[in-house]
Amino acid sequence: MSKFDGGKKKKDGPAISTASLPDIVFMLLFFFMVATNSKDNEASVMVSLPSAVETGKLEDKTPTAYIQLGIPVKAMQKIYGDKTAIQLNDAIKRKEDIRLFLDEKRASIKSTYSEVNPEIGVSKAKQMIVCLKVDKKTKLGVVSEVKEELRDGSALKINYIVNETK
Amino acid sequence: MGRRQAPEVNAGSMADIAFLLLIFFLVTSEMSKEAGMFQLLPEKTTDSTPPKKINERNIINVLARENNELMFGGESVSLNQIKELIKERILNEGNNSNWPENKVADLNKIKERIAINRKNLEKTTIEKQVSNERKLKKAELRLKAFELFGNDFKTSEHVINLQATQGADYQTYISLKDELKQAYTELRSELAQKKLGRGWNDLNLEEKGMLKMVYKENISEAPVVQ
Repeated sequence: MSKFDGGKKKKDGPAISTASLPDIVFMLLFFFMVATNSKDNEASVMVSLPSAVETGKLEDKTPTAYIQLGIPVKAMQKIYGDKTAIQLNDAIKRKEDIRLFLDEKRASIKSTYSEVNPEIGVSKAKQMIVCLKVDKKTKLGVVSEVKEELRDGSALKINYIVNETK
Repeated sequence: MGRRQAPEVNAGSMADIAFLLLIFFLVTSEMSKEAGMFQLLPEKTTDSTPPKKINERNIINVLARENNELMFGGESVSLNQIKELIKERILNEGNNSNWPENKVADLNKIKERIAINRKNLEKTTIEKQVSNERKLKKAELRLKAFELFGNDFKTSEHVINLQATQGADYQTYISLKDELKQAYTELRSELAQKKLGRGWNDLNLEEKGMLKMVYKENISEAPVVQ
């Protein structure tokens, strides 16, 4: 050991300053904060998205409502079984609840935008796009039932969320 | 002024704190690589007038079934065949009488439509002004497309009838839909390459709009079948 230390002392230049290290790490931190978005709601169903090539970007400005379809997560399977379930907001709901969910979403969009201008609120609520996050192994019968429910609730603009492959 | 210098704050642990924050954000966030496939659902109507009759030859049937099986017309096909089959049918270069009809766009009709839209815009109400303006713009763009593409501006009368069985996987359905959309994009970019010498990604919005008029997407979705 002493031999090693002795050798080092001779060659040692001035210590490298680590004062800028926090700055670098903060820069990384800010990059990740900007480039990612947080997992906003707790997942009650497992969704592994299908992949597709012909896709469009999701526009930030149009108001959206998310509906997720998949098999409930392990912890939820005791209550909801292991068949495909529908998740609205944070909880697993029945398909009959979709219309109420749509109305609630529209009302909340309307009230957010109405603070500026009531007319914008109404038109924004009309523009609402329903994003369907559906597990790729889901049977199409279930998806179709949800789509019928959306038509009944006159939410006609839908977006299938997929993983983009190039 | 004999001000005593404050002892220097040790910033050595600052990096640790920043790393901790960084790792926290890495764990709680996700990269967004999600994209969407847009669809406009048909409105639910209460009137019971029978839908417009479509000539049998103009309907292209595709069906997604369980176990990843796909049907085109009555035949079982694989996913990577679909695109070429669809393109062939839409182009219908040999004027096959069993395949969808193709009509070269009519200049008089295009001009007529512009005139009608102009008139509508003149006597428009304030609420409808925006939509009427949009219609006129579209009609004018159609004329421009006709001038640019000439005899290549054929309008195909086809309707793709996309069906799926109840037991089909969602991935099968999305892949099929994806393949149909790719067929349109390829048709459009082939024409762009031929007439403009550029690929689809190098076109501006107006050119893309014109190409979308030439090869108009016409996919109709039937409810699931047993």
